[in-house]
Formats: sequence, structure tokens, C-alpha cells
Amino acid sequence: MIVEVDTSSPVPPYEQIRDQVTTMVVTGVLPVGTRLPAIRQLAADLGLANGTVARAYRELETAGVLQSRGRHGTFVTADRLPAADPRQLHERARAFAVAVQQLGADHSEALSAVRHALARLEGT
Amino acid sequence: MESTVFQLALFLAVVTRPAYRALTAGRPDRVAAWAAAHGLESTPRNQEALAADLRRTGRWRAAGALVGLAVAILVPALEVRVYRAPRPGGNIGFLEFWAVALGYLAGVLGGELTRRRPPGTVRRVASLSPRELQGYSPPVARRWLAWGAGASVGAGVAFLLLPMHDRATVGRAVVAVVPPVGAVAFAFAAPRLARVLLHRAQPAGTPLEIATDDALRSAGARAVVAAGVVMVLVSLAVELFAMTLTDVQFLRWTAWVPGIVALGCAYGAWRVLVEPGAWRVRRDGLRERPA
Repeated sequence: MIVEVDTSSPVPPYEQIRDQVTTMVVTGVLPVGTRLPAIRQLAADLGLANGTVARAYRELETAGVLQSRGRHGTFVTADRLPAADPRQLHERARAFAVAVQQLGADHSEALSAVRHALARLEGT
Repeated sequence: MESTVFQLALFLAVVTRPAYRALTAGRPDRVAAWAAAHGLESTPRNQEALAADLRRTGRWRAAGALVGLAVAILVPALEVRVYRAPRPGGNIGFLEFWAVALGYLAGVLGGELTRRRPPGTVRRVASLSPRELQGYSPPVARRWLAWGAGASVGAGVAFLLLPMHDRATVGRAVVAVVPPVGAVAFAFAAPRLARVLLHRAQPAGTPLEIATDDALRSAGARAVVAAGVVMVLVSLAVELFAMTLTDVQFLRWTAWVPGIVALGCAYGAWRVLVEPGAWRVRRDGLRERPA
């Protein structure tokens, strides 16, 4: 359950967080009822302002993905889960395929790298 | 004189091995074993960072404990001798144990607070699992804190109510109140200090850096809780040894036995808690409790 923010990206950090959390909820990586870290903790870990993470959480609450329960924390909720978006996955796979070609790697190397990266994330 | 030599030998027996292990914590074989115990992937960069961290925290802890020992030896005002051991010149002071544990705790905190953060990168990663103490240290350690503090308070009350022996020279109110109050304070403070360490920022550029930092934080949190357990159980031992000063014949002859057991448990709990393989971080995300 890793969230990654690229500060050099033209996409604002709050959007990066929002999109990744949405994707993890939709795919079941973040099951309903999971408690997320406090805004202050996540902001400190990512080196961002509290307001940036707060905005991502607020938008996710508005979208029905998260629910804030005061001092108990922020939880993944099942109120209005957005539908899975296979288009987004295909877009990212296409970008990865382009990178594989540019690096001159063959299919087996590319698939092996993906499996390895997924295994490392699952083990975290 | 004989008592001082005995006491110094006792402290050195307790402190020497941990100090040696702490000072050699950065050795490659020790680092590899530490990483394996925490299930960390071994990369040259990771090993280097781990070795530096273990070496630094080990030195801080050893220095803290040794400073505590030095203070205990050099400041006679710290001595409150509440137990007359059944052998010539065998009095044992207890605030010395506290001083060593307190010095160790200060060393643990110093080591954690001086941890160097990895250089900032444009890509930053963080885990979406909150860092909670129950994921970083065994719950049984916190139960030990509660039980030890409760037993210390109970023993303090009993000591206050029981008649004192004629030859007892120790201040009754001091022995009945100070160790239990100290035990309760340590039982409250240790988990809170550990939480402060856990909630500090965790800057990382890769998932492996997060896992490594989690393992190091767990070691720090467990060391803080272990120091708390030691101080609570030493407080209990003080009360139990003080029972030998009461006018109850049975307690005068037997109360030192559970006192020794409490001291043994304190040392054993500390040894177990600071072992690298004692606990592996559990950070799978906490579920809400069913309503």
C-alpha cells in the first residue's frame, strides 16, 4: 500500500495522491474499512504541506471513497465506489511498453520486471 | 567496601555484554543477521545505511547506559539501601538500576532523534498504513508495563500498612510512595515516548527504504518500551525487598525471592525485547472495529 508522489510532474501532488488512492480502493488493494494515516503523518512522510494531503482527502471524501470519523481517523468507505477504469490501466501499460522498447528490453525481461516490482510492493 | 565491589560486579555483569553487542552492531555479519531477522532485502546501499544506523544507535545506547552507571556509582546521594541481604555487607541499592535504565532510555532517544534522513528526491513514497505502536512492538510488553505498575502500587500500599521492624532505618513513606509513583509514571511514559518516535516523518524514495526505516523504528520503539519495563519491574523489586523490613516474619524471610525474580524478569524482558528477531513490523493497515 505505497503511494508515490513525483514533485517534478506537471500533475499536482494532491491529484497524484487522490488518483492513486482511488485506484487502490477500486482494485481492492485498499479494502473497505481500512484506516489511512493522519493527514499530518502522510504529509510529513511525503514532504508535502498538510494542506496538499488534506485537499486530496477532502476530494476523496466528496467522491465517497473516504470517510473522516474525527479523532478515530479516516477510513475507506463503500458509499459510492467509483467504477473500475480499465482505460487508465491500458494507458499506463502502453506508456510502460514504450519505455520497454526504448530500453531495448524484450518481452520476458519486461514481464519479469513488472512481476518483480509487484512482488516488492506486495511485500511492503 | 565489599558491598560496593559486589554491586559493581553485578552492574558490570549486566552491562558488559549489551555494551559489547551495541558497540559492534555495525559489523557486516551482525548487520546481515539483523536485516534477515527483519525480512529486509539485502542491497549494498541498504546494508551500508543499516550498518551506519545500527552503529550509531548502538553507541548512543551503550553510552547512555554507561553514563547512567557512572552517575549511579559517583553520586552516593542516589543510594537508597532498602534491603539487608542475608550475607555480610550485602546491601543492595536500587536507584542505581534506575539510573542505568534511565541512561539507556536517554541513549535510545538520542540515537533515534539523531537519525539521518535519506537525501531528498523528486520521487517520494509513503505507506498508506498508519504507524501504530501495536504494529511495532509486542502487545505483551505493554501488558507487562501495566501489570508491573499495578503490582508495584499494591506492594507499596501493603508496605505502608504492615508494621515495620524495629531495626529498619529507611523512610517508610519514601519507600512506599516513590517506587510505585515512578512505576506508574514509567508505565505511562514509555509507550507515549515510543509513539513520538513512530510518528516522526518517514521520508523515503523507495519501498525498501520504508521497510528498512520501519524495522529501525520498531527496534527503537521496542528499546524504549523495554527500558520502561525494566524501570517498572525494578520499582516492584524495590517494594518486594522492602518487605523484608516489615515485622512480618514470613515476609522478612521470603519477600526477597520474588524481588530477585522481578529483577530477573526485568533483565529477561529487556533482552527479549531488544533482540532483532523479537518482533517483525506489522503494518498491513488497520481495519475499523465492527460496530
